[in-house]
Amino acid sequence: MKKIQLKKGIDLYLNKDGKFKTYMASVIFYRPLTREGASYGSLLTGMLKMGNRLCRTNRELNIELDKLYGAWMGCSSGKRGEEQNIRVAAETVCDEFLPTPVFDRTLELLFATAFEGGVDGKFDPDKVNQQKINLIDRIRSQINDKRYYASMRLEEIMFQGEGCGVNSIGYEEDVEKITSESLYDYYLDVINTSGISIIFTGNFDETAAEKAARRAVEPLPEREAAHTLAKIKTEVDEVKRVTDHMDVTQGKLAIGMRTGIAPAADMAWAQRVFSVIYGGGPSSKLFNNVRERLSLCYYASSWPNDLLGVLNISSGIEFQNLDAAYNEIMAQLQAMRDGDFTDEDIDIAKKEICNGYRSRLDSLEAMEGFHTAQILLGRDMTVQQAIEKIESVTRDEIIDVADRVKLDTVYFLAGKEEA
Amino acid sequence: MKFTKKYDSLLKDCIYEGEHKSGLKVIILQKNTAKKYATFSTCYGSINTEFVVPGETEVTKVIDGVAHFLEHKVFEQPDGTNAFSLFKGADVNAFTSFGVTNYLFSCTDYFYENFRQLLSYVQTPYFTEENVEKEKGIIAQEVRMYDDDPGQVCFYNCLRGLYKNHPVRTEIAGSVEEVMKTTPELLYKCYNTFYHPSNMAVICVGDIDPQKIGDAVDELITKDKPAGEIQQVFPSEPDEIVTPETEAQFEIAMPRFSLGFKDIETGGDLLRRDIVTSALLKVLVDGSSPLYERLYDGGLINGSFGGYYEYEKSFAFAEIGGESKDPKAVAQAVHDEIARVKREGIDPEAWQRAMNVLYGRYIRLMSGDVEDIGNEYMFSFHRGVDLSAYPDVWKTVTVEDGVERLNSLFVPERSSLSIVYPKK
Repeated sequence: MKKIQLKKGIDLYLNKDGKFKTYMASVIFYRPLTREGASYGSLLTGMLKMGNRLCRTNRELNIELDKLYGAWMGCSSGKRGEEQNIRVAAETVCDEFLPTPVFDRTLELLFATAFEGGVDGKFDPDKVNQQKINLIDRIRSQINDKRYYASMRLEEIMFQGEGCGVNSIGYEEDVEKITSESLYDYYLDVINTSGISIIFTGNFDETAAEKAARRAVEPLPEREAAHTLAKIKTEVDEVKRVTDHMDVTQGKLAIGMRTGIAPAADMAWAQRVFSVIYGGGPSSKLFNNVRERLSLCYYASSWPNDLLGVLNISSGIEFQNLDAAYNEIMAQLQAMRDGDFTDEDIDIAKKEICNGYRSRLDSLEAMEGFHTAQILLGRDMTVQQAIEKIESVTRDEIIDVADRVKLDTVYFLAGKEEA
Repeated sequence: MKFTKKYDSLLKDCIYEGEHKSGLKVIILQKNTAKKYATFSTCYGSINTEFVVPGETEVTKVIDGVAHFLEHKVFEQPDGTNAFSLFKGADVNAFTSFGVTNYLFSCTDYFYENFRQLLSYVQTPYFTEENVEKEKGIIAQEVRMYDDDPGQVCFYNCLRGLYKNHPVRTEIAGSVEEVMKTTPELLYKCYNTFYHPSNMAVICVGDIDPQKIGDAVDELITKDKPAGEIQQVFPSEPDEIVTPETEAQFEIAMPRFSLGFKDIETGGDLLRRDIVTSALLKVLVDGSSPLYERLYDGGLINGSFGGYYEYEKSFAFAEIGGESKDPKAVAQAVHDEIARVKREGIDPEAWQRAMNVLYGRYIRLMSGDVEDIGNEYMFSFHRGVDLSAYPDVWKTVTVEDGVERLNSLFVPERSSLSIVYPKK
């Protein structure tokens, strides 16, 4: 990956691969995640598509994108550990596969959306109000997907008081207080003080990309920018157990555990292998025991959150099977600690992970995600190097991870009649 | 087996097509990717509940959800292991839709080894009283998961509003009650009918050697001649809908809706109809349409609003849906807009833009993820559609086709509105 500092605090990354017929260009503003910033960031991403210097309305922007053979553009605000990422991205087909070229115009629209949002130097109050309503609806709609809702509640309970516990979508009561003026001030603060990464991935002309990016950041000031890494908690004071009741037909069990392993530590690779053997897929202990052997669920899986040194477990079960499922999940963890897995299990898990890494080479979005994760950790690693790290993980390291796992939070979403 | 090679001059890729003596179709789409994808699919989905077994004369009618139940059980191997464990370094899965059941894997290494496993395990059914019984608990949990999904409930309520008899009105996995009635005999009967290679296809996408695929097929496909044609029977379906409105309540924050339009033109040139209808839906309801802007600015819709067209040979419908605080007002606005466009005509510029978007979308699809390419190709294949003909058909579609479709599909009397409201 080629890195070019355009200005202090503003970097351009070029990740060209001629095998693609498309490319993706993203502007990522990064800053520490705060509770207030979460709501502002989410609302801002709604407003950025409502008008900019080139297109005064959302419809005008959509029409322009349609003209570019349906170029895709997306705005989102999310978190990585304790860092907030506000991302404006565009993806389109390379000019050589289209009847008329679209490269320059796509970038014009992307950069206008990211850096020149708002019309006549402000956000229209009516549109801000509309976006506030939409955002509040989205916040409330988090209960619609019960599996997601359970994982969100788990996060809330487990990380209470920690920066990473902030829900990046925002909070209803905070959104209500935002005005069109305060939102525009926040936007100016974002574009003038946040760290900025501009990332190109796929098949594009590097010279043209650099030229367009340089022109786009020309009016922006230099800034002090640093990435935020979450503090890793290694101890659990007291296991938290919470049950909510809702009108659902299937119970959702969400368990949070802490490994305390830092994301850049060598043990983080072993943590990945551990999680795949434990609950990563159809070859895992959770799938083969909780689902296949005991028929307790349709899904039971685990996955690590590397940035936080955390392991998540999730399963959908009959209400009355809570204890049986929980006990089996814990029994399988103990089996991992006892080293009750074969060299073949390790081999299968490693192959699965490496296959995932290699597969990323085909996806613009996954490639960008891989590289932004490396940028956050302050290293420049290739997919091949990541694969070598995984392949070098040993049995003892996996058992070491299992020994570090500490139960932190057990959350259960149960039905109404269970109340 | 032998392949014929086609060069796709637009995408600059090669396509290999061949037919094994068993009647199995094999298609390889060569792409310059790290990941390789293989599918082994049968033209058999949740809607195929009535059929005449080749060689018999009587119609066999089975309970709902058998295709999906089979999808789960085909993984079970005679030695009690799960077929998942046969694969190396691969993402292995399967899914059932209205019209197909698809067994699949993707991987970067060990592709040909894994491909052999795919061919073998799908041809090795092993259903016993005991293993069928065990699966019922798992599938019941899957069904319950869908029962808690307001989007699914809204969608199927809409289909039940549109269709009186056609099995598309039933959930793919069936109901818990029906699932509990499944027996090994029933599974074998459907397996033996629909899993004959002549009712199936192998479709592979990626940097793949056709010869190695052909050799594996020659060696591992055990049948040596095609079975007779399976006659698929569908209950007669009236043009009329069942009910114009359905309501349900759920623990959700905001009402959601599906407005379905029953398409009474089925069969024929499906690819062409897909392109025309997709362009038309874009003109009517997409983010660049005047209707979208009006509803969005009026606070009646959010970013979830949109429309799409779904079809198999035996049914087709358009669905326009999303979330809204007032679904009835949105449905009325959609009907009003359709009436306006019928009256004033389709804006030629909007039509051209929509057509351009479809063109770009096709190129992005066909140069994107190998799984997406393989799945689209596979769905099309079982509908009798050659997806690689898309650009050629696209060229011949005109705004007049759009006008004709507007009048034939978007008829208020053949629409049904399904709403899921938040529980009070």
